[in-house]
Amino acid sequence: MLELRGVSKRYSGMLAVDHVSFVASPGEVTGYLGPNGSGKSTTMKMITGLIERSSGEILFEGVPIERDLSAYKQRFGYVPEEPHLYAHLSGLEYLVMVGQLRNLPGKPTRERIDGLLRLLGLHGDRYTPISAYSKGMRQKVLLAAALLHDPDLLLLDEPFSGLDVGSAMVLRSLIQELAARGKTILFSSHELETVERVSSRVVILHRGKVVADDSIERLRKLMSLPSLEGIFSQLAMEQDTAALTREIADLIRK
Amino acid sequence: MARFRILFREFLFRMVDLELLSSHAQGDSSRLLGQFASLLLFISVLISIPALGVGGGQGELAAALNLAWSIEHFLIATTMLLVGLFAVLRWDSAFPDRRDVLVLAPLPIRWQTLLVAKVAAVAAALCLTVAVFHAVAGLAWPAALNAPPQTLSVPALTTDAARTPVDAAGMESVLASDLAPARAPFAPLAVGTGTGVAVGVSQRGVRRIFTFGPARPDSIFEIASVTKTFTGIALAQLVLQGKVRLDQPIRELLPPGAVRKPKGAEITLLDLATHHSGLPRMPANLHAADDDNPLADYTADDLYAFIAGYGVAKPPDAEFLYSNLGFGLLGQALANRAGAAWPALIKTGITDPLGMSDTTVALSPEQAPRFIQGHDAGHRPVRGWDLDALAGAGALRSTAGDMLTYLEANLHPERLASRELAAAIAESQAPRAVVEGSTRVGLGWGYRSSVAAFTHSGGTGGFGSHVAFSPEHDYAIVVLVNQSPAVPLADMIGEHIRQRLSGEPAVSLAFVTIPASRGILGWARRMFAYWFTMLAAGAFIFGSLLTAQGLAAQLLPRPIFLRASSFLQVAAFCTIVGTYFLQPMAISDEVILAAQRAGRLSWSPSFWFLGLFQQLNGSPALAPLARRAWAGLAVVGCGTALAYGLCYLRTLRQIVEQPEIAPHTLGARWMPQIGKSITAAIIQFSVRTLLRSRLHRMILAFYLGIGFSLTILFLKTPLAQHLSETPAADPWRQVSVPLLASSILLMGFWVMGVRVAFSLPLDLRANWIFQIAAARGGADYLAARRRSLLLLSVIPVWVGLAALFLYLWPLRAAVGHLAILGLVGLALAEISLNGAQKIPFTCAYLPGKSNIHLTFWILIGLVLALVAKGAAYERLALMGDRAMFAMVAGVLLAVWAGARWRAEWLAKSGEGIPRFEEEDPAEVLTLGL
Repeated sequence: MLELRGVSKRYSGMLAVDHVSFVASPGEVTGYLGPNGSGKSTTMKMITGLIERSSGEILFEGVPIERDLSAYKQRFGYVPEEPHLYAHLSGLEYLVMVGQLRNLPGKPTRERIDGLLRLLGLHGDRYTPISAYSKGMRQKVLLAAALLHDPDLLLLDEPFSGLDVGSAMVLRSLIQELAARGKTILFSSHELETVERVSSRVVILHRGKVVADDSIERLRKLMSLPSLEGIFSQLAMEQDTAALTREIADLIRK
Repeated sequence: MARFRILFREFLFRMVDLELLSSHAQGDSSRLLGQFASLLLFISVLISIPALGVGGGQGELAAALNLAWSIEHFLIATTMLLVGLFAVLRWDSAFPDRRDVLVLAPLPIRWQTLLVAKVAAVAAALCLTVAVFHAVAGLAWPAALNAPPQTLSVPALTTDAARTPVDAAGMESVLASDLAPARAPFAPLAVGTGTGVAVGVSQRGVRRIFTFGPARPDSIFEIASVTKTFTGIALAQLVLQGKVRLDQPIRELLPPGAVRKPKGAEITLLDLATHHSGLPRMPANLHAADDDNPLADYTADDLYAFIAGYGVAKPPDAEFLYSNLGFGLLGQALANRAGAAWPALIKTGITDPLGMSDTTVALSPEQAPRFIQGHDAGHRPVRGWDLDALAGAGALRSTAGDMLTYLEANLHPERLASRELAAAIAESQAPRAVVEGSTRVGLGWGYRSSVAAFTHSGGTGGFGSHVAFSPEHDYAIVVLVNQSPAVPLADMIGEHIRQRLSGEPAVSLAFVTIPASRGILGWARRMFAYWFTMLAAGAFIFGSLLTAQGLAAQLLPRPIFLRASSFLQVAAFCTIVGTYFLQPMAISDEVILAAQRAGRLSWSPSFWFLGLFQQLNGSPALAPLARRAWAGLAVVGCGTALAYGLCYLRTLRQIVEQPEIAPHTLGARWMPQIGKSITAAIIQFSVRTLLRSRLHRMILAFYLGIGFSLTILFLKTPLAQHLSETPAADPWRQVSVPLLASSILLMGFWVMGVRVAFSLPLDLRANWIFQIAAARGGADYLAARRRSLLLLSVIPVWVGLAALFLYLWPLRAAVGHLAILGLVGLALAEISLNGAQKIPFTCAYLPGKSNIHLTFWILIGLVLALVAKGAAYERLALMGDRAMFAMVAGVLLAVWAGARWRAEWLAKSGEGIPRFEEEDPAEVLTLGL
């Protein structure tokens, strides 16, 4: 179980993440939503330890993650928002390197990498440098790297970015399957439809603060709105979408 | 126009790579640009300082001209090096690339605008680099490099075409024709100047004497320093007679008490005869009463007084230093021992037995009218020189006929009646010490092994002389001229005759007239010539690289070009750096001759632009080089235009359609796993990055280029001669200081190059994978860094040098040096590992770090001196001094162990956590949301 207790991140006096608390449980897919700049990726990076938080606590299975950061890092897989990879390595070389960095045993890992590459449709391009990969192929490499060590916690920041329809469908099912196998999954996405289909619970962030943390079903009932999109626009959007649309159309006509 | 301006600014800005900067660099591009400009300005100031000392220098004409040319060439070559390096480092910014096209193609921008903006940005970057580099130098040097205040005639230093070998009998007519340019108006032998030449040639028993101008076959000339060869034979005679020894201290031949016995080594007769005594060229207490006859009143008492004060200790590192004082002292000492005056010694010992009745110090009443009038460089008549105490250095006067007789005796001493004289002559010729390169010196005689000839030249205020003979080719040449050797006429004619005898292309006897340059107009012209030349030289080198890159892009399929491009870049880099360091920097007549001839040096563009500089200054000197500069500019201009034109017509349109990198369908990407999992990951990552990243390869190549250049400096320059204690026919097989020092330097620069490459990040944004990887403590990271460094630097150099030394040297010496070299490499690697733990190629780079590199380059002289000293100790150790070997190895082991202990300690302490930023993040950062 992943638990955030009053986690904040302050940049020169400005709160990017403001006392965020929520729990992501095993077997559950937690959607993490918010408009651009609401603090989603910052929270993800704090959970991975990539950036330090200003205050609050992050616990995994009831233990603060700093207590043994190395052991904690072995337990999670992370797909970052942008597919930044070492482009001079081939997909295979990159995954082998990730396996070594995670101290995984050589031969079984190699077999697992081969399998992942095959299943993700990258096997034919495994020797090609990543610099020649499309955005979707890079996303698949990131996904393979995150799954390589069979993590208990999966942190997915915009995992559907760049994926084609077929791959996106596979990933959707995969997320649900992994949750069913007891993994804790926290994933953020702007595709509300996907979140609605995959997640059992959502945490909605607005200006760094949690404005909603509940199951989609309960939110629908509470807010008397039929879809997650409606809930989201009510909680996290400051402007009237229709009015804004008209304003833009008028502006470019002038 | 607005679009052009925006694109121009963007492209110019892109000439400086910002992607390496740390996100905390704060000053970003302006800071980096500022540092770059400050560095150039600093160099500009540095190279301008000598201009303060050169201004107004009007020394000996030839030397002054050569100095000016050396400075001009240095400035041109350095500009080309700088622009060349800039062009190589900005290789990818010179042509529109995929990014430009993909970003700009959807915008309403015409291809022409894009291309013109790119060309303008490249040209502006070139001009800015040259302008900043010459900001100070470009004002100081045109003012300091004074053009002559009066019209001057100097040798054209070109080469006449080869012709079939001319024999002695046919030489007069050939020379008459070849000398015609030297007799043109303003040339040294022009009618009315009073300058004449007497020539004697002897070849295989055929002898000819002929003259030009006012000289007659029986004209008597001052032979000046050729006299030293007579003193050398006199020395050999006294040695054979057992009256002196070559290794005898000169002190013993001076009046008792004349000079105190020094501690340590003393100057011997051999040191004096081979110019290795360390004595200066002339004595300091020379206060001539008559400047036109400056040595006449320098007596033996003056000589002893000087020596009493100066002493006769031999400096331990005495190298060749031409000394009139030394030969004067030798002549005086021999006369003391023989109990006769020096002129009498020569007369009884050499000139009388050889029948050289016209060779004497004091002329008889019969000879006096035949003594030809001498002239200075400006053709003004000057008085003859009389030498007293320094007679042994240059007092003799002679005719071409007598000198030819003398040379024939030297050529075939075995034919002489006097066995004793024959033996003395042979003894005097044996080469005994190094002058420079392949030139050796005997007892006075110089020996040029490249042409297998003995030579000597001489000059006084009004006379020049040149003698040469070759037992191997059986010829002798004498050239006597009644003009000061400020114009090296005698040497030129002597060399010309030698080349005609052998059928080689001969140095031209043509002269060019450099017009006077005065006043504000003269200054303005020099200023224009300077700046135009520097810009043209920069444009040439930049254009050459653009042409090579552009044409390669057209000729090769794009994916192959993208791969070959980095090799082309490294090749260009090596060529630029190699050419800069390998070409001679001190300009002499020989260098200019070689550059103007169709040889290797004639392909060096910096010499072409030296010619262009003269031409723009209004001087006809070096005109053939100037023609090559114009031709080069034209070719490169066309090449660049063609490259950009084809880029516009073909590449811009194809760039989007073609993949940047061809898919790899085949290939084994196996690499051995060294060490633990995480260690292996970092090692493999380091090796792959260095092999595949063009930027990092360039950084390493830069350091290797410098390392190789310094290696060449040690191995091929006079420094090598200086450091080699025993010059050998095959210096590669000797355990010499230059070879030892070179291999140590190579190891050092390789380690440093890899270390610097490690410190530059590949892609900061991709580092997250290392940051979220699990690792405890710094021991794993330290092991990974250490093994990566050893694998990429120490091991390849060591293995390469091991193969070389085991092949070249005796086993014991090779193994000994390889052990030392291994310890040097290990110690250097360990020192490089000190400091914060950083995974290679991942830590952000702060521009402030370049200060360290600047300090290093300033201290490079000290480093070289230390390495040379260390190599000298190592040589002693390898030559069998076991205590020295133990000491050298012990010191290196201690350094290695100390550095290793510190690195391990740092890894275990708080510094063990890998760092990805040079400085801790500031409070304000990009939000990264």
